[in-house]
Amino acid sequence: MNGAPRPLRIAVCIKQIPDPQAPAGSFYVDEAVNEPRWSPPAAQVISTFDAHAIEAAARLREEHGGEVIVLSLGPPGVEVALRRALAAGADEAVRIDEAAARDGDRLAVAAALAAALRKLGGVDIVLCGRIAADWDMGHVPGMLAEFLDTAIVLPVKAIRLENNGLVVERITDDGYEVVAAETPCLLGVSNELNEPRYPTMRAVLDAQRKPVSVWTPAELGVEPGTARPVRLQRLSVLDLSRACELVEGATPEDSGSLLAELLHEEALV
Amino acid sequence: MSEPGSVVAVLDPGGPGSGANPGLVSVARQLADGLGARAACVLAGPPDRGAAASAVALGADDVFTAVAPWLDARQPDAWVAALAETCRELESRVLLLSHNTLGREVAPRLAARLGAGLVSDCVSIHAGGDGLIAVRPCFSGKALSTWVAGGPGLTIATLRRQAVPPGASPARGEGVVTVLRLDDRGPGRTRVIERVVPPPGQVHLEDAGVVVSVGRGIGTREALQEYIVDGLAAVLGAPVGGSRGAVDLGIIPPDLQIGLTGRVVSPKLYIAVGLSGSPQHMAGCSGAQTIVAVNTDPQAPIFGFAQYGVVGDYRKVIPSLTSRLRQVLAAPAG
Repeated sequence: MNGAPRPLRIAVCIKQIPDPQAPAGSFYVDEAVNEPRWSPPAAQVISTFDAHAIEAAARLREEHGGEVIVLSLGPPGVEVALRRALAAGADEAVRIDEAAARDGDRLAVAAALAAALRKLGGVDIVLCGRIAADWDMGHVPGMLAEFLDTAIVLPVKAIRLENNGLVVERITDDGYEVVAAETPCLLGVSNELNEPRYPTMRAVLDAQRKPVSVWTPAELGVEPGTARPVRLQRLSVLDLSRACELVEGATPEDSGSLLAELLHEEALV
Repeated sequence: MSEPGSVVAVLDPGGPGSGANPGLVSVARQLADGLGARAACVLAGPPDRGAAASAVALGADDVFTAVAPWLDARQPDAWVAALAETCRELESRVLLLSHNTLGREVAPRLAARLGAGLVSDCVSIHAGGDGLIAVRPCFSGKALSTWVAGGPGLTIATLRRQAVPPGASPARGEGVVTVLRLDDRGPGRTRVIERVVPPPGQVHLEDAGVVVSVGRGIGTREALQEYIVDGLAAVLGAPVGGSRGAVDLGIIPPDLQIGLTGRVVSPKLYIAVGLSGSPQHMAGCSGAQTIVAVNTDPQAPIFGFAQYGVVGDYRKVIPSLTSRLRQVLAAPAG
């Protein structure tokens, strides 16, 4: 009735972070400035769940056609992550040129992403990782959905696009739910959803030729965030190491029995 | 700022397994005392005298039952609208939510709508300075961050379930119970078609006092069944989870994965079998009071987190551990 349907447009919002898989021992805090550090330096990677979001977008496009736009906020170095996303299936990229927000001000990040998505002329599906695997906050997806005035479902472990909208599986605290959502919709992607692909050499080379736009917050009409309602007071390394008491019997079987008695004596069972 | 405002705890319906935190009211009471404010509790309708009475017993000055046909635990749009209205009406200074499915969707959205401060997944929160001080883990559990929310305006906090035991504060008085009738806004933009929950009787990982967790070292699903599910876990009545490695090998389903990408548990006792203890895994169990490790590799990082350990083959250690536990647990106490 309305003619040919408009091609599907999917946006993926990603964050480049220090590799969360870096050895725990390399992590420390510069207490003078309350900032995390890694020695040796951690590699910069696409945040764990965001990689699954890129894969989800690529698969939706492969199945339904359309285009995938990947967005990130940060300094020029963030383009490494954007190029990787382009190699993993995105068609074009946008970098919002602003130093990553410090402290708790994720509202400014979400506002800038929302402005960029509006400038793109609107999309059908926005995919984000369920949380960023550095500060583990998970604030941006919900804030972005609010600024865009779209539905949100999170965390999501399956996505199907049907005639009338999205059907997704939301992980709950005791199982999961099958949820129907209108588009446009924002989905917070969990790692159960898929296994991100390794880009082929060809895809990596092609990605170099794909467009990366750079927009400033001023161009987007976003005021730099001044309100900092919540402030980081202290960041400290959590030392979980404990002196382990090894239970050593004459045989492994004895060790098992001794451990049972110990757990019983200590009233742990 | 003469108006002290309220500290509001929201108890979403959902019951056991929903991740809802009955301790929220106690936290609200403590914060309200620290801030010189009233402690309020919002329940979702229909009005339930029993639930209202327990909220008062836990320290709530005011209990509001929000009544609207569309307001249930699975309708985040409706909750955002209802809580925005509630916060404005009560001139709330603090809004406390569980860090569960509902809280994770609702809290950031509400913070954006109201321009509020937000601290999520807190393990502790108290009044301090001219507002709140909240502590939350970050960097896959490798660090703790302390956040300060001061000055006027609303702060929203979501609390990890184990953050506060219920009943930590005494009741204050009679409590004022009010029904909060909300506008009928109709259904939201999402709709639950089907709920899939584990069979009844199965102990929920997050609720369990004892959790048995397996890693790649367990080897096969058959071994898991024989030694753990039918053995150690059965004797302890403990649910079984595992590491990403065990999921990758197809030994446990992805929804039982414990770790940064998975479930976060804080049992009294966490028994890790054939599990190396990667930082990603430890992010999901660092809240355990006592960790016990059984692993063939004495260099495995898990021994750095465990209080008690056995270096050895679980096929030899676990059967004797299981049978001795069965004996001591069967023996009369004393």
